Amino acid sequence: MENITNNLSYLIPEILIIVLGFTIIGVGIFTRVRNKFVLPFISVTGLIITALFIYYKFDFGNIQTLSTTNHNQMDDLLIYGGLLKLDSFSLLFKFIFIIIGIFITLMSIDYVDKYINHEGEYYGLIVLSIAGMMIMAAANELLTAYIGLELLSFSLYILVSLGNDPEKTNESSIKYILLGGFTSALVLYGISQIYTELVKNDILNPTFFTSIGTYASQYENFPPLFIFGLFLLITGLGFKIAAVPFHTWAPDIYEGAPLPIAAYLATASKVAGIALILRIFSEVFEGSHSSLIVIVAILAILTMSLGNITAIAQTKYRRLIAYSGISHMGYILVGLATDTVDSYSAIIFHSIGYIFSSLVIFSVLVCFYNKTNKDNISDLSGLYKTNSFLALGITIALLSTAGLPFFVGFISKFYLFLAAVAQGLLWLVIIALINSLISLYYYLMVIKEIYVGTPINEQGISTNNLEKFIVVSSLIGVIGLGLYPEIIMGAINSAAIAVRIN
Amino acid sequence: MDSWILPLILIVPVVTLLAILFIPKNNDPIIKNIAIFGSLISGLLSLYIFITYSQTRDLNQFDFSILWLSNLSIRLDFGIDGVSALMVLLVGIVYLTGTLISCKITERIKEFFVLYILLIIGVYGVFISQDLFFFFFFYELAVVPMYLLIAVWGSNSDFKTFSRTKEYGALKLMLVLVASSILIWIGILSTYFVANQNSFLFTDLANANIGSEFQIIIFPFFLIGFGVLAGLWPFHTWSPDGHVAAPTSVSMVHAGILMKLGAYGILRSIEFLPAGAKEWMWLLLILGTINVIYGALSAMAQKDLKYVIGYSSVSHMGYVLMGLATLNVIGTAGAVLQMFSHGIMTALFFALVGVIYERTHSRDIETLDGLIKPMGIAGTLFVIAGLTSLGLPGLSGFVAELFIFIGVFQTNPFMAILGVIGAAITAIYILRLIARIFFGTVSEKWANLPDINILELIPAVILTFFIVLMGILPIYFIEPINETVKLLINTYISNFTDLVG
Repeated sequence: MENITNNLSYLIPEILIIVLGFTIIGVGIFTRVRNKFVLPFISVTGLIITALFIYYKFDFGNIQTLSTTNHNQMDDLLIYGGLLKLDSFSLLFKFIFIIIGIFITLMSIDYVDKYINHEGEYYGLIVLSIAGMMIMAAANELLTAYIGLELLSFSLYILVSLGNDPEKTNESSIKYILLGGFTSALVLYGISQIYTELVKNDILNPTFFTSIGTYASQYENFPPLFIFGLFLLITGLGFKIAAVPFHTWAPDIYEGAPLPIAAYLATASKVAGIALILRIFSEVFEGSHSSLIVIVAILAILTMSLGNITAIAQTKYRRLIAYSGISHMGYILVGLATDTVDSYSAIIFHSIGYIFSSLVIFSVLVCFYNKTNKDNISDLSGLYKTNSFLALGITIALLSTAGLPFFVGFISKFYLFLAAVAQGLLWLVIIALINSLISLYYYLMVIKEIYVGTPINEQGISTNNLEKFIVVSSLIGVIGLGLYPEIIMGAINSAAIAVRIN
Repeated sequence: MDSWILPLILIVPVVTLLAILFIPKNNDPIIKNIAIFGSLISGLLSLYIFITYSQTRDLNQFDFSILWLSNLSIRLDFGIDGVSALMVLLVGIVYLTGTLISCKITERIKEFFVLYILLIIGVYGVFISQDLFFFFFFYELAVVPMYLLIAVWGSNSDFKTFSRTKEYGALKLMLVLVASSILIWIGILSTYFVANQNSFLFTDLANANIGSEFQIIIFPFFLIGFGVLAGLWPFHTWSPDGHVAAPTSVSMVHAGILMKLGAYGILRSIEFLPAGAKEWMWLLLILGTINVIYGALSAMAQKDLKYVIGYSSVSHMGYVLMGLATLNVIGTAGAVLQMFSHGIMTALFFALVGVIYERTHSRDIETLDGLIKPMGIAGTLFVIAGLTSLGLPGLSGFVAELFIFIGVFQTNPFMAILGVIGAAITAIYILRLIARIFFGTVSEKWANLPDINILELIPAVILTFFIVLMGILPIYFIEPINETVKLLINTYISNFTDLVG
């Protein structure tokens, strides 16, 4: 039996984060801080303390291999009557979100100093949105998940609207709020449908994942209302991770949002969506419904192919990264269609690899944008001559996302595809491989601009130590995990086992 | 101690690379010295490995193995056999000579060496890996730096009727190679799944008794996938374009070693897919023969000196493929010898073409004339390379091609005859080329060119030394590979025949 507790101490990380968020907003509003480092310093220190707290308090380093097929449920804690689940899965993701938060905060310092007036809100909302994502990863029930999702989304609506290009920012923030609000409504409506269906059938705790799973396992073919509810739910989650056909917001929003926030949308917000999707899929659709897998596979194909093909035609780097990010969600969906412990492990690993390479790409671009204020790929021309360090960093990250060794993208794709082939999805893998090739093409076009092109402005672009530190530390992730992935596999495996075998 | 020799052969370039990476820019002499020193150590290590192996012939002496990724039971497993020992020697030689030749580069020398050494790490890794995953890992790693090496340091080919930019060559090479590796991905993923050994080790896969039906389906993926890198017709067009656009030392590594990775990959896949190999080798034999003839004819039609050598590589790789396709001991041994011989020879060719281009700033066969007068030493060495290329006895090419022809004759006499015709065409274009650019009256433009300098001469002499050594004492090279090839052919191929029979 799983442990159920109402002990508040298990929520300390979330509480810490929320207190931290409000502290930052308060400090920002009530004191006129002139130094650009003060608020980020508070934020990063708080986040690091929380991360260390999670690491030590919850015995995070407890290593499991995939051969351990029987997940010990005693390890899981259900908090507040089971609304939140504290297992290695949610812990790993909380840890990931905090790390992304730290990176984004550090990346933003110069950008905020230069372009944004609302420092306190900016840093505070990033921290608050982390709390939302932590709830999403830990949610064991639909409404709690929804609350986490909303906490994340509301923070993001404001963050997106803080962009510095009035025309584009207005467009993108309105678009994001409208589309986001619309999707939230759909999700809520979907939840209500599922709730109704379960209540009609006298099932206890009708919004709990486990109850929905139990209900679903009774049917070969789902009742129409239930399908409708699920469909709306999938739409909402698809929107969050920008899967085709719910992807159209991504490039526009990336263009209008502050660049570090685009990075945040591309990494944290997507990974939170992935975490929730993994949780819902494993618990609700346990016992694999083949029709559902076909739907996911089709979504995967659409997402990969459309993302990659559209990316070729882009002339602005933000849009290019947006589309390439979309195509990466396609690879993740391949893993979801596979639906084994191995593939869950691979999805988490691939996401981590994706996070690190995106962080490198964005931190280089933020650096570049701060100095030049330029948006086009062709403006990157000759970056090698103006700053060879940034050029090297972004090249490595692009090659990693294209899936070349010795970077993390190679082994994570290999693992993901191997898991899919083991389930007989070779055809899907072939499509994914062709997509990798297409992506290599447009990455090479960017690399060509950077190395072969002549700089428009011969003036060098300087980088300070902080910027170097961010790029190098995320590069260590890209290269280190590519050279020795075993180092985090223990944590990933325990997370995958916790979520998949329950 | 010995188990650390193979990791060491990767560690030495890695250390060299890091050392170069952390030296500030504009310290060109120091960077060059470190690069040369590192490549010298690697070269000596390679020689040590080859000599030790050929004296003891102990397959397990250098074994090194650690678990790398437990989820997929991927092992970082290094080992050496006769074939890879010879290939490691080849890499060592070309690495050292290529480094010496690259010292001429003046632009962005630091980045050049970093990428160049990355390429070398990739090719070393392929030849010493005993695990299919790491084999592929290093195989792809070798492709990674190619784009920048060609696009940044390469040269355009610009003629009135024909022009290709270096960016074109680089992009084409990169995309074709990665496209072909999709086939290898598919092959590896499905082989691992079907073999069901929970291991990527070559030996485990070979002992898995993979069903022959599956082997027949999957072998073409490996054959074409690796074949593309080996310059297999009709997927060869990336190779001359890439060679020509690349800077000298990269052309040397590329034609000298990289194309061998493809052939080596085919050889390796025969080991665990013997039935598939038997079923499909007719195709490889035909395509290989077309390679020989088509490559030779194309070489004949070129105006750009570097394109001639590029197409001659395609033609010579055809012999390697023909030799592999025989699936008998003598033909396969010939293929391996040809891999070595062609690697050394083509490296010498490209080095000398680089020397000529540097002085004349032209690669146009029509305008180059009588170069033997001003450049006596370079010309002589070029003639030696040319004679190797057309298979003159006493030089390395003869032994290798003889073995291949005998092997092919045993399986398909008709193809063997076509192969010999290919050799005759090679003789025509090589002799014509030499006659045109080195002999005849020297035009005034070229009369006062300086001859080869010491930094170019040393590598050229090293390469020539090995050409001659293999030509007059082939036994030193045949003996170590013989056993391995026998093991491969007699154990795996014949065993499989027994099973089927």
